[in-house]
Amino acid sequence: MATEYSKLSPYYTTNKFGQFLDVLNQRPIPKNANDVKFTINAIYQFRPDLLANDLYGDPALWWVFVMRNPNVIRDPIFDFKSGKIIFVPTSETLTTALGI
Amino acid sequence: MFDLPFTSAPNFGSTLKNLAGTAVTALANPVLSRLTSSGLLPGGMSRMPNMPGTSVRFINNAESGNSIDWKVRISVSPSSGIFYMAGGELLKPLTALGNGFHGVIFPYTPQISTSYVANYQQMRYTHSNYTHYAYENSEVQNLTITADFTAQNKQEALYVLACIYFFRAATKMFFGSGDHVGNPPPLVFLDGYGEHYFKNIPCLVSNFTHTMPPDVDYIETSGTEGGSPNVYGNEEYGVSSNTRIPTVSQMQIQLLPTYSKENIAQFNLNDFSQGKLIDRGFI
Repeated sequence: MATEYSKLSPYYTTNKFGQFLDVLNQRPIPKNANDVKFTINAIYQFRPDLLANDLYGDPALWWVFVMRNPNVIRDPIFDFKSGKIIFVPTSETLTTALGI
Repeated sequence: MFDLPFTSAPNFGSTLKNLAGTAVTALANPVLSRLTSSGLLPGGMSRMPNMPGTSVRFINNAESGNSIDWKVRISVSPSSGIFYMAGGELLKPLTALGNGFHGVIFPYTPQISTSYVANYQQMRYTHSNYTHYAYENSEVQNLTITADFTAQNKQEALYVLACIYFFRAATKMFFGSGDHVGNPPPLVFLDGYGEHYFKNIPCLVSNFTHTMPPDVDYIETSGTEGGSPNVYGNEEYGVSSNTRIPTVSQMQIQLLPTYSKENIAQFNLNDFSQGKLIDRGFI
């Protein structure tokens, strides 16, 4: 059954058994020609939540960067290092992909 | 005493107000401050203006009232009645370039190498300190053109496909059945960069290489286009079968400048040096 996690959560589509989560059902973020290429700087190093807050107004979307850049970021926090080049999804893409 | 900039009370007040305003703005909106210093905009929006759907303009400059067209173009004679001049859907994009222009127009500035050679035979005299040279002949060697092609939509994919077929065909002789059987591959004409660089140079296509890269997306031509005016003119064109074309690819073409005996007999070096023979295709 679906969980009570919000649509902003990476676990929104993951099933739940009792108090336990099932295997993670990923929520992919599609590529878009308008996605901006961004070199992570010292301000946002290890802070995807801060970047999500600044870009989309909600730190709960911290996980969208790893879903959009799976070849660059494996660990959503500690791979978010200064100097790495990632693509930043637009808020329109998130609206469409996540239904928010 | 030093003459300080904030000596008059009104100036000091306004400057302080401005400084305070900037500081307050930065303090009041740290999000915007962080994004600005990172080169980002709220919502992940691009700083670049939106690009139109068709960003590559194949249409000849002359169509927009400019009498000089700088683009590099390879075409067949309009009166030849071959290839795109013989009709057909596949090569139709090459005829719809606007203002009567036809042929392959390179959408991006290609790299062109031209080599002009004078051949001399070495005369090695016995017991001589220096070599003497006897003139043999001069030649214009292969013209090598390396060009990038992109296809961002169906129309551009059809154009790239037409270019590929044009150069494929230009390396083959008329054989088997049909018109002109027994004739060698046709002459093509090279134009580009204005009046005095390449103007109607008669050439043979000796080599054509199209590289299909493995690391780019491919776009489908997917059927006959129809319904709305296309980027090349008002006529619609298309092919009925689906084909996939790389969004970015590179073509390499080798051309051999060639002249008839009749043309060569009219050569005059002084006229050539003054650019008077460019109308006859001499380079």
